[in-house]
Amino acid sequence: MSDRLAPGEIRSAHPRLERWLFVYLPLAFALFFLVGPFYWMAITALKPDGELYDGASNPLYVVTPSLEHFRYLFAHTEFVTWTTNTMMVATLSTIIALVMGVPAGYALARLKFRGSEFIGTAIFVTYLVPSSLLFIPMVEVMAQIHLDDSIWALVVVYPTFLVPFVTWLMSGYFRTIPTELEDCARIDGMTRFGAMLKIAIPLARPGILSAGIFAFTLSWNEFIYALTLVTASSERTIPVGVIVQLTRADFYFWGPLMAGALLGSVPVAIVYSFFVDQYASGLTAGAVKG
Amino acid sequence: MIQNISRRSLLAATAAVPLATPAIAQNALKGTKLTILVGQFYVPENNAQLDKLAVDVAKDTGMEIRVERLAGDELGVKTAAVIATGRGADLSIGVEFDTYLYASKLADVTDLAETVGKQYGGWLDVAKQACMVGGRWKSLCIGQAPAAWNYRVDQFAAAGYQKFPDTFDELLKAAKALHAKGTPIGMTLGHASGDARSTNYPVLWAFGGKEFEKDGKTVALNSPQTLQAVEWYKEIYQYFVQGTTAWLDPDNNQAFLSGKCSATVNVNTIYLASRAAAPTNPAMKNIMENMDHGNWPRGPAGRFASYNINTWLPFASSTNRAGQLHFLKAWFDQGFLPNWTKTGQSYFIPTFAGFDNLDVWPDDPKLKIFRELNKLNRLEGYAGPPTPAAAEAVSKYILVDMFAKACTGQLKPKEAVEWATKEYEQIAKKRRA
Amino acid sequence: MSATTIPATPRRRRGLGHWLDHEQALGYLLVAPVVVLLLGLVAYPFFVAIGYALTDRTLADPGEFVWFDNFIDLFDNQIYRQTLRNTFVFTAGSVTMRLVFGVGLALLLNERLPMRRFVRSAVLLPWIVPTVLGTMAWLWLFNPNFSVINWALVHSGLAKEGPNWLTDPDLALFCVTLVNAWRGTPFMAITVLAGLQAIPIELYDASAIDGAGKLQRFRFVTLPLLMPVLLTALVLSIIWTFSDFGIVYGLTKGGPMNATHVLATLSYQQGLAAGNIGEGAAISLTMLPVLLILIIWQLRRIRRSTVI
Repeated sequence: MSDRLAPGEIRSAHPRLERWLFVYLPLAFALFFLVGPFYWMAITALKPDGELYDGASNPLYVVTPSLEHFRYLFAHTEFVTWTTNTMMVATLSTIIALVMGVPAGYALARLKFRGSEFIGTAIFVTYLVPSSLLFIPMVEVMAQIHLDDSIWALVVVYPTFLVPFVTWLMSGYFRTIPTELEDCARIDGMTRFGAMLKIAIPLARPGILSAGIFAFTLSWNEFIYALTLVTASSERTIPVGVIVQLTRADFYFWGPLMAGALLGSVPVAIVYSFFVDQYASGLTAGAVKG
Repeated sequence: MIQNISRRSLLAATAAVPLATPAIAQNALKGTKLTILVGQFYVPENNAQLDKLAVDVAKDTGMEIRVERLAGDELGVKTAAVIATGRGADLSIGVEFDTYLYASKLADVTDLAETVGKQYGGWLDVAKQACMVGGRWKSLCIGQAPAAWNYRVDQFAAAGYQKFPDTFDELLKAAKALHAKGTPIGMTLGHASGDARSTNYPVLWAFGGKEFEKDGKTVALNSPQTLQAVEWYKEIYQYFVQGTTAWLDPDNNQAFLSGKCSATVNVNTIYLASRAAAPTNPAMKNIMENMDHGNWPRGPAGRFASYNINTWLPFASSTNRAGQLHFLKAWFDQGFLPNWTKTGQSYFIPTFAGFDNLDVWPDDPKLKIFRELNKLNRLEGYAGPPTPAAAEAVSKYILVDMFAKACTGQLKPKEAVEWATKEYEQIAKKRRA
Repeated sequence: MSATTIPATPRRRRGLGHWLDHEQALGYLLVAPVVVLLLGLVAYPFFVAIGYALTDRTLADPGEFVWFDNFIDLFDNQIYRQTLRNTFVFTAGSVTMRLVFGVGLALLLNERLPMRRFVRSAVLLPWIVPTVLGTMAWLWLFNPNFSVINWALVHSGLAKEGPNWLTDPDLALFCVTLVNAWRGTPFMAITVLAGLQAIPIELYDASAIDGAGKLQRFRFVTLPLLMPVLLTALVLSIIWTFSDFGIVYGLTKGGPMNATHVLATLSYQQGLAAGNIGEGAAISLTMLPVLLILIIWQLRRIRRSTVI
């Protein structure tokens, strides 16, 4: 919001105080609420078991920090494998979702063909079908194509909830890009396909980036398909692996659990921090015109 | 060829397992595949022993055996998927309801069951109830995990109780005394998949209540006996530690181990955990030394308990039936099973009458009581068999909620019983079996 | 926006080039992969699931057609009715929270801030962490035995004993709602932030010249221009929350006494834990009417705002 004073507006007697009251303080609360739980995760991950389960110990800090939980995570579980699995599934699913969704979004935004409106609506509607409805029939479908109990099943299934969103976002985004450049290119002899590839898509980079980040996050987080379609421990993804190996019916290994949760999110957040600005701008256009 | 077994777990396996394998049919198994879905046994060595057994059997027969280890819920889900699709595994571990639930999709293993039963002095009744459908054995009982009253001897003594209370009346009085001393007890009233059952069904039975009549179809819950049970519970609830209606499985362990709760119903995992941590953790050492296990108190109708039962489920859809039987035979072999049981420290006890006389019981005096507890089990669905309807009632936590609703005052005791009865009737109507 | 303003292309193309330029063919070609994927892996399983819902199928027994009995039985069942109510409360509560927190946070993030990049990515953490794992952290925070929140309340003298977060039915529902709001606020905030940044600064200046104060500027400039973005984010949020599974499953498994069961968790419990595939599918399907209404509304709004 503009800081400049309008004619007639009285300069505040305490601009700094106002800034503290209305910006920094609320922001601090917001950060406390949103990031606070990660602080506890970190504390729990660094507290040795003796201190952790002692009812009298202070939960706000660690008296004797220890890396024993992280060590346990790496030595006694297949955490590294799960991380590579999750990376692979998320990356591949994202690529597939983009390769399928970006051109489809372009087609729906730019090209006139019979039934395009219906198809657009239909694609978006499929997004509504919740995975809690589909996952049992999905197990049977995967069995029919002999992909059951394999991590490749995830690579095939994840696009089903990624592609509709990507298509929808990109179709909205493409609509905000003026057509002049493509029109000129076509006059110069380029095919529509070429125009899409060489002009529209590069222009749509922020939107594609947003869609990609979003798709990656959704894949990274997914639980229920990962749980039911993959059982081999060496093929598990992080959420499933951590839950399955670190919770026995009677007992949660809180230390390693929190260590796993931290390692499964903080690195990704760091990577995202480099893209967050573009992500925001990519979303606007897509969402506004959606 | 084995996958998914780490060297560490192989080296940790303590016993050498001589296999009494028949020479015939061994060549027939060569090159075939066998996939086994298992869960995590509480005692890590038990897992290692299973893995080693798989290695030995594979070596012996030339089969390719794959052991997939899953946990709790996930095992049930994966088993369901195998049943639904008819592929993915040959054997898995199930619970007492699975035999009824999946009867038509399980292989008939009556011959093997009878042989094994004879080997160990006969199956306990509870095993027959859990594994036989229509007079045929459709699964083989691995064992049951007896749950006992874990209690703090020191705190009970301080409240005036030198022994664990032997009747429900005494338990009520003890709870009141302990509460006054600031050391309350706690019974799991949340949606805990293990403890909710083992804590609450015995209460119903001790007062003479039952869910179904012998036919397994008529709902028999709404009775004066059930009401008595609910009223007893409501009274004792006020002396409980905070939070019991939200207790999931780990919560009563945590409460006990952190000193917040002086008694609770649980398998021996609390004790084993404290024993394992005692060398390095003084608080845990204190718990270990001051705790013991007590038997269920006697109610007006008797003394009962409710345990998890695990069974080997042989899928009828398996393409390697011979391999299934071979592995199962090796599991129940006298060179393997007793040793496995002893290593399990009475967490999991096979359901054979003859085990009383074998050297499978732990030396630790605090675990001795599990030998008696092994004989007390009754299956859910009483007085009928463990039908799918009974199973559904368990998974919907109807009984637990009945007690919880009355205890928290959400419903009056009579209303709570009526609510539960209505739920049971709706379930029974759906399930024709 | 179409490309009909250009004059006809002078050259006639042959072969592949022709098809890559042909509007209709290219259109179908580009959407074909998506359509095939969704037909095979969404539409087909969906209809299979509908089929299940009309039978009394269990895991072991294909059962027979009972037509609408499953649905009738559901509405007659107290646990289902309670679950339906919970789902609405859960959705209304967390979406409202997300909206308020999200807009507030977006306004804050829009300001000039020190360590802006750090703040913006820190804020994303609840959304990035896998749902079940983030929920585990909250399980620890609300734990009946170890709750850090209760510890803080007791030690600071604010309360004698911490509240029974997950034990009391109403509090437990509040807790799952709060955790869901926690999870979804970052996405809402970033989306709204994007919308805020698209508002031209001149509009603020113009309104300031007209004598508008900060609050009025928000009401009459920001909010109306933010509306499209807000509505979109709102609809998405409602859809996701209404069908959410992970939070309740991780935090309470539907307890205490079914006070926090939502349609997705009840469907899982009935479909898999109890093995009633037909019933589980029916429960899931009852989500659809609400979702359909939302989607139709959203689509109508989109169609109105785009000029083709």
